[in-house]
Order: sequence, then C-alpha cells, then structure tokens
Amino acid sequence: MTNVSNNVPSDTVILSLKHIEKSFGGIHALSDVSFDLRAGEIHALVGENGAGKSTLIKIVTGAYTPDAGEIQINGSVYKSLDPTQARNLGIAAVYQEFNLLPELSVAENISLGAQPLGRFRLIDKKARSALAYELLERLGAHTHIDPDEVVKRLTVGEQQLVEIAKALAINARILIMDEPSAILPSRDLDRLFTVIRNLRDEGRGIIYISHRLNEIFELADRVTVLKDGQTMATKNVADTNHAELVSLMVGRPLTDMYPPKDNTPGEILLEVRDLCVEGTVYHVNFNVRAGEVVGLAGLGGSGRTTVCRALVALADVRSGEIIYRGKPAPRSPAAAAQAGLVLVPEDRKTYGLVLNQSMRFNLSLPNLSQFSLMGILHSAKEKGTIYKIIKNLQIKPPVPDISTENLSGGNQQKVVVGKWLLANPKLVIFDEPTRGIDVGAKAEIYMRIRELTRQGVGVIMASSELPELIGMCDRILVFYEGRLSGEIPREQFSEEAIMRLATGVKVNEE
Amino acid sequence: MAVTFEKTREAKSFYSGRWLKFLRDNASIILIYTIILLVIGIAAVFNENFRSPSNLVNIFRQSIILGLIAIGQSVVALTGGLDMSVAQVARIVGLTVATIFAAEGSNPDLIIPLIFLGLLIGMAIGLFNGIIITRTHANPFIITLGIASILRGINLAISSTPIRGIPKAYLLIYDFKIGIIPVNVLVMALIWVIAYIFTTRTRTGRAFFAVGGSERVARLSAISYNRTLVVAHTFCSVCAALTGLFLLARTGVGDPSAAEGMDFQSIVAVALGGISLYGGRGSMIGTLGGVLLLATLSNVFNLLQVNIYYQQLFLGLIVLITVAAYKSPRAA
Amino acid sequence: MKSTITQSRSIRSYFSGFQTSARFVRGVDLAGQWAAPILIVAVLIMAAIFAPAFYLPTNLKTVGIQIAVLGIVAVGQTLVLLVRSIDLSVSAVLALGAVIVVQTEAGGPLWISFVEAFAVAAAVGLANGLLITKRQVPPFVATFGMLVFVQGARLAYTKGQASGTVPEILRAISFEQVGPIPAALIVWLIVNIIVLFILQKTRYGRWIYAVGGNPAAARYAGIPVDLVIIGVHTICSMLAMLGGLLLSGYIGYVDLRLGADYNTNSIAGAIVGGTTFTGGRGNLFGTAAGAALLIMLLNLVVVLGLPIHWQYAVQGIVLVMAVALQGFRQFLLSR
Repeated sequence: MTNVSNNVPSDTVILSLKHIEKSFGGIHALSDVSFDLRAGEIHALVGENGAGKSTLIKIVTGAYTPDAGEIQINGSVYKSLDPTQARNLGIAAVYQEFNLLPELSVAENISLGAQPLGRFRLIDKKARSALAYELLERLGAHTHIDPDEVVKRLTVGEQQLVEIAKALAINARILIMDEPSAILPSRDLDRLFTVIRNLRDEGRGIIYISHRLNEIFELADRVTVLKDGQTMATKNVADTNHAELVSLMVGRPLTDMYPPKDNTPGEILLEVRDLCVEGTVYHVNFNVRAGEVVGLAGLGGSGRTTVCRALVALADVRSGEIIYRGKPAPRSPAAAAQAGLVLVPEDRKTYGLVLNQSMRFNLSLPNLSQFSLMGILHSAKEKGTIYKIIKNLQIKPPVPDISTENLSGGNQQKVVVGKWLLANPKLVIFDEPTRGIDVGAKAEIYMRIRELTRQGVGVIMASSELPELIGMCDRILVFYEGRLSGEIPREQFSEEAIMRLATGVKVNEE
Repeated sequence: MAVTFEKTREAKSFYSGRWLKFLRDNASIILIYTIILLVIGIAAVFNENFRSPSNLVNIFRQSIILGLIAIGQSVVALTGGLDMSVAQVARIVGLTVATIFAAEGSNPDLIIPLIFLGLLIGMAIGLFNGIIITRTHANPFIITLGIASILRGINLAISSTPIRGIPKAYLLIYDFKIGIIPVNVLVMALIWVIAYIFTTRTRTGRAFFAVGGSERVARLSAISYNRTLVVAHTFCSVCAALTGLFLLARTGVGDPSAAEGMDFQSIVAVALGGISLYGGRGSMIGTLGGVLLLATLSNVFNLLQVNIYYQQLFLGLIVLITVAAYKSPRAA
Repeated sequence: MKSTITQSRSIRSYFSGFQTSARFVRGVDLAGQWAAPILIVAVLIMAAIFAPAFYLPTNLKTVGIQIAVLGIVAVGQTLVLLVRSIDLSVSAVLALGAVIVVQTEAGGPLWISFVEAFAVAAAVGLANGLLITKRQVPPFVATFGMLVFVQGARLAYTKGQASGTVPEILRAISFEQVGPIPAALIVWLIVNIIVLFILQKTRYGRWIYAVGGNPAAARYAGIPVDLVIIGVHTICSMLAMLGGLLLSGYIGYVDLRLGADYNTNSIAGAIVGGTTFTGGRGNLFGTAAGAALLIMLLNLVVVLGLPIHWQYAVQGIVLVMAVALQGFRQFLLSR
C-alpha cells in the first residue's frame, strides 16, 4: 500500500497561507492556519469533519474573506481574494458537487464564459470541441468522453474529469480537489490518480483533500493535518505513517464534561436487519437496547446519516427490516413520532427549525396532536407544556414567542432537541447533536441524553466528534462507504480505533 | 445532487449509434414535428380547401405573429423566466405608430422613422422589465404581469377605438408577394434562422442557457447574471414590438385589441416546443414546432368552422396536457 | 447539502455588491409589513381633501362590496402564497362560479347549483395541488395552464353568451344591507374570522406556516407537506368561487369579462399586505389592508372622474411596486 512517490517537488512555493483566521458568529472555524503549496507537488489536507478544511478551501477560492492573516500567491501578497481574482490567478477547485450545466455539452461546459469565436464573431463549435478534445486527451479521457455529449449523460467519474478539464482550460496552476474519491466508484479511482499525477508532473500544485489515509500514502508528496481550525503539522508523506496521522488528527485531552454512565441496558428496542438504501447504505445490521447509548461513527458520506433517516422513514429503504419494539417500524415520520421513535436531525437550520417562527411554534410543531382536539389547538395547554420544557432545558431567553432566528446556536439546538423530547420518545436518534454549539450547551445536551437513558429510553448518537462518542456511548458502530466496518465495545474505545475503521484502514474491500 | 446526473452504463449502451443518439437528444422536437405532419396529413386527406397551396402559404403567414412573439418568449424562458407583457407591448407599439400616422396625415415618409420608434419603445420597456427584475430580485413572471397591467391602462388611454390613417405603402409589409409567396414569410424564415444562430452560436445566446441552468455556475464562469437577464427581456420586448408593427400592417388600423391572448399562446408554444420553463434547456427549432402546430390547428379549426369557444377549450386542454406531462429537473 | 447552501449564499452576497446596515434591513422589513395600513390612512386623508365624493354613502357601499369580493379572493391567494405557491386560476374560477349558478337557475333547485359550483371549484383546486405536488410542475405554470383550460371550458359551456339574472339569494348575501353595512362585508368578515381561526388556532394553520417557512424541517417534523399544499389550493379555489358568487350578486348579471382582473389584484392585495413569494411570511390583517388599499385606489380613479382605464395602470403600478418591495425585503432578510 505504501508505494511512496519518488517525485521530487521543486522548491518554488506557489501558494502560501500565513496565520489565517476566520470565525462565523463567534465560533472559530480557523484560528491559526498556515499552509504552503509548491509547484509540482500533491499536498494532502486531512482532518476530522469540522477541522476547517472546507473553510480553508473557500478562502483560497475567494468565496470567504479571512478575518486575519495573509495569502501569498506567486510572490504577491493578498489580504483576501474574490472568486474572479482567484480564477485569474490560476486557482481552480473541483468540489464534490460539480459546477457543470447538465443540459449542455462537455465542450461547452469546458469553455463556458470564454467560448472560442470564429467567423462573424460566432462561436466556433469545431474549435470548441477541438479544445475540449485536446484537454481530455491530456487527461487520457479522450477515448471515452465525447466532447459533444451532453454532460447529464456522463457518469460521475466522467463528469469529474470534465471538471478537471475545465480547470486546465483556465490553465490552473493551483488545483484543489475536495474529496474527489468520495463520489467515485473504486474502478474509476486508478484513472483519477493517474490524471492527478500527470498534472503534478506538469508542474502544477495540487491540494488533495481526503478522509482515506490509504490514498494519501499512495498519492501525496506532503500532508498537512488540521485540527480544530489549527495546523497541527506538515509532514513529508515518506516520513510519516498511519498511526502518526491519526493521532495528529484526533489527539486531544478528554475533558470531564461527560456525565458518568449509571444504568444497565434493558430489552431490545430496535433491531435493524440487512438494511439497504439505494446507492448509500448496504447490508447494515445492528440493534439498540432500552437505556443504551449506541454511537454511530463514520466520515461524511459514509451512510451514517442515511441510516438515521431511514429509521424514521425519511429515506426509502430498498431492502431489509427495521423492527421496533417487536413490530415492523412505522413507515412515515409522523407515525414513527407517534410510536416514540424520533430523529433529532443534523443541521438545525436546514432540517430542524422554521427559522422565521417563534420558539413556541417550533417546539410544538411535531407535537400538535398533544395540544389539540379534532385539530383545534388548546392554547393554555400548549403554553403550559412549552413553558415547562423551556424551563427544563434552560433555553435562554425563556421567552416562548421569540423568533428562533434570534437565538444563539446552542439555544437553537436546545429547541430542536426539546421539540422531540416533548414527543415522549422511547428511542431518540441524535444526528450531530452538538455541531457548532458552545461548551456549556454541549454539556447540557449530554446531561439530557443521560437522563433519557436513566428513564429507559434508547439513544442512537451519530456524530463526527469522536470524544463525545467515547464519552457518551455504550458501544460504537463505525461506518465506512455505506457499510458497517466494525463495532467497538466500551472497553476498547479509542479515537485511533474509530478512525482506523472509519478511514478504511482495516477493511475488507468487498 | 451529483447523483441526479448519473446515468448507468447500461442506459448508455442502449443508444449506441449516432442516429440513435440524435433521436434521443431531440425526442421532444421530433415528437412535435411528427404531430404537425400527422395533423397536416389528416387534414389534407379529408379537406380539399386545406390542401390548396394558397392555404398552406396562409398557415405560414398566420404563424408569423405568434412566431415573432414566441422567439422573444423563448429567450426569456431559457433564462428561467416568463414575460407576461408581450401582448401589451405589441399593442402599445401598434397604437403609438398608428396615432402618429393619423396625426401626420398618413405621411409615407414617416414609415422608416416610426418603425424605429416602435422598436425603441419595445427596447425601453424590455430594459425597464430587466432592470426591475435584477435589481429587486423579484419574480419575473409577476413583475411583467404588473407591467402588462400598466401598459393596458396606457393603451386604453391612447385609444379605445381603431385608429385609421395608415399609409398604403406600410400595408405592403403584409401584402407584398413574389408569385404566391408573401415576402414576409421569407423574411420570417430568415428571422427564425437568425434566432437559431443567435441562441446556438453566440456567447450572449449561450449565456441564456447558462443563467437558466444555474445562476451559480454562470457566475463562477464570469457570465454576468444581471446583464444576461436584462438582454433577454429587452430582446423579448423588441420581438413583441416587431409583432406590433407587423399586426399594424395586417389589420391596416391601430387596433386596441391587437395581440389579444398572445402572452398565453406564446407560452403555450414555448412549452409545447420543449423549452423547460425552469430554464436552461430547449431550442428555437422546438418553439418553431410549437408555433406551427398551433397555427395549423387554428387553420384546420377555422376551415371546419369549429366554434371559437371550442377552440379555446381545446387550447386549454393542450396546455393542461403539456403541463401535466411536465417533469421537473429537480425531482429525484 | 449543507456546504453548498452556505457556499451559494456567500457567493450571492458577494455578488450583490453592496453592504447594508441592520437598520436599513429593518426599515425595509417594516415597510414591507406596514406599507398597506399606512398608505390606507394616507389615501383616506387625500380623498377627504381632493375627492370628498369618495365619502358619499353610495360610493362607500360600492367600495365596501368590492373590498369584500377582492378581500375574499385575496385570503385564498394569501394562503397559497404562504406555502410558496401561487394561484393564477382564481379569475377563471370566479367567473365560472357565477356562470354555473346563473345558468342552472332555470331548472332544478338552487342548492344543487351551489353544491355544483363549489364542487367544481374544489376540483380545480385539487387539480392545481396535485399538479404542483405530485408532478412537480412549477406553481405558476400549473395554475396558468388551469386558467387557460377553465376559461376555455367556460366559453365552451356558455357558448360565449353572457346571460341570465342572478338569484335573489346572491343579491341578499352581497348587495342587501344589514343596518348600514353591505352583506358582502359581513361575509368577508366571517371568511376572515374562519381563516384566521384556522391559521392561529388549529394544527392545520401551524402546518401551513411550517411548510412555507421551511419545507424540509416540516417534513422532518412529520408534517404531510403535499397534503397541506393540496388542501390550501382547494381552499383557495373555493374562496375564489365564493368571491365570484358575491360579485355576480352585486353586479346583478353575469358577463364574459367578469373577474378578469382578479389574478393581478388578488396577488397585489396579498403582496402589498406583507406576504412574500418565498412563503411562511404574511398574515390576514395585511391582506385585508392590501385589498382595501387597492380597491380604494381603483375607486378614486372613478371618483376623480379619470378615464376608467387608468385603473389598469393603478393596479399594475401597485403590483410592480409591491412585488419589488417584497422581493427586495425577502432578499435582504435571507442574507
């Protein structure tokens, strides 16, 4: 596996970031990041979810303005970039979500915005196709991608190559690849790696982001590890190993914010047998007992969130069974909530809250049948219950009619948690319950989870924050590429063990 | 999102040959022209009057009005909007030009300047539409609906009765023929060719597709969203102004009910022709098909003396079927 | 998913090219919410000075009835806008209703005509809702198609002849007076009370605001999003039908162009009153004020002796300005 590259990068630094800082709403996404990229090297960028990788990329491509620090490109110093400027400086990025127009041809997508003109200032289609052909040829993709084909008819791997060709069309010197392998079937990987190596050998600098450490050892020349918005280290790939990278990515002291476990699990509440969801989850088996906290670990796109959604009927199950309290689980989110099976979703602003409405509105939304008779609401009853839960969760300010967009992140998250606690759940699935909230609010949510288990409620906790999984769970299930790659019992918990399973280090490929 | 684009290899190999690929890429266009040929074929077999050469020429001539408006409507639709003010723009141009002709005693010297004036009015309204829409981030459909209402008021203020006094020479725009072929049909054919080239072979034309396909991608490719939208609306209103000038030559009077229902019909033609009303997909050849189909049907109905109200019902049915057959690109 | 949303938003704000202060945003927001009531007061004062004839009892009665009719249609339009949809078929339904009742007056009991009328309206609304939710047709396209179809059906049914007198009962609920107040205004008030009750005091009302405010969160909360949208469209069509019945009761006869302006005006009324196209924002008080403002302006055109066609210009200007203001407000609020 460790076929270390024998490429010798030049010493020319083409991009250098110095002490970059960026925060959103008082929370530091990047607190002190320095990074440099040489011509003719593949520089891997690794770190856990939320370590600041995407923020860093967006600063380089000009989508975000940094709060402090400087950006040096080809010797010139910039405080910040804008997208056009970044493009003109030869910076191009290939994201997981492509910036292609599916209805237009490959050739047109490649030269969009600067289409070659011929006679009468009309677009020269021949020249356009020829340019596309030439660029695809340099990628070795000219044999299977027709420049005149409509992009929507290409496979994901082919579309990715078109994105790279677009970057070549503006003669990008700095190419950023954001988890390019995450969306590719494994048969397309070798081709992608060859392409990337060739681009490097032409003297371009490539920033390669990936969660899969194997790839980094196969492909990259240097690697920089980010953690909590800071640069931990930059190493030559030849001088490091898996273990060191994993410990750099996760190594942080455990704090005592996790309330101790004080109960024993009861009977089986939920049983998942051979669960498959089209294209994302394959043959997953596990169960959850009453009073137990089961952790779901796994990197972005590992199928962890899809499993959570499938349990409450928000994702279509292709095959397999979900048995909840001895019966097949309800097949609509409303029925699931009725039966006490609820999901506290990730990303509260997208899935959790109706932001322009009040705290009361949001707290009662899934519980309206409790406060209503034949569809008519009983306001006094609603207010009483809402007031109790606000007090109980210590949501601040304790004003039921305040609009949720005016609450802090932690209090917003408490509203999302609260609205599902009101449903008197028997099994609660938390997806990223503490993303983007402050330490105090985190501790309160952990307390709440312990309290639930004490009452005999089963808890599934999906999270990318390993310390919280380790602090809270009875056992942890790790997902990798849509499959369960392993289960870790409490006595064997360690961040290294989880990361190893989550990055596919010890995984049977089939 | 990326998953939506994904096509399996199996699906690809199904269309292997070049001509199969052509069929696949142009399915909606082939469908509409097949329907047109069917309608023409059936009508020609069963109705003598229909198959006379002068009637066939007539179909083309009748399609000019809707065709001109539909060209402009197509461009706006490609950017993801719709223009509800086209009929009123055509009308205001016709009425203004007719009023000036009448006031100046049908002076034929004014023909050229007034044609330019008409186009200028169209351009000004289109610019206004485009600027409001891009500046306020408001819905193009509703904005142009409001503009249509304002223009309707102004039109009725100009005149609520037909205006006479159009110079004879102006009427040649409609009447001039070579053999049995009216020159305006030839000019219209040329306009369609230009419209086709404009939308397929110029940077501005392709920008409509880019903006309609994805505002974000267009912006990342240094295509100005605002400029493209303003150009599209201006182009559309100029097309409507041309329609107004042409209608004036056809009726010979400034008609305060000119182009009635054309905003509806142009959208129907555009949708029938396969332009996605979400923007970013379609072609002028499709729109031409939609226009010809509507013109042929209306011709057939008139020959069969079908009650105008049943024609309306039929148009409604066509719209509803087209709409129901609609599939959102954003649906899974 | 998450990363794209934040990314596109940041790009959007970058390209929009200007910095705005919180005070400016707040100002636009307040203007969006309070434009209609403030303008009503202004119009009433201006009318007192420049067009005292506005306050003649006969004119006030006309204005009252017209406000009631538009107000009822605009309530339906508001509901639809609240769930991020729009209904362009209200004018056709409104006209259709009047025709059905008047035509069937000749034979058969009246109540059957009424049942028929509302059943047809409900069917149109249901069809709108199904096209929008089950076939993902953009709302304005779906309801626009429905408009053309229903208009065609009406013309085919009536053969284009405007005919018939209006049944007494319609005169009674529209033109007759209860004390000094026209009956139509009372119907309007009742409709507002009922819908206000639904919006404020029922589960369904909460669902409407939730679906409009954030459809994804609504789905996660177990709300049957499609059913909510279909239901709202059905209510909207039935309210348009009620508006049509009141209108024909007021006019006293049915003619072909009846109700043609109600698409523009009902949307304008709702939008002026603070409802936005992006859903989840808006209320009945604003809509009532918006409808009243629009009718008063249109009436002033008549009272001031201006040619009647300036009414078109007035409704167009109100619509454009309202849509521009609300579009800009929503844009600022969502940044």
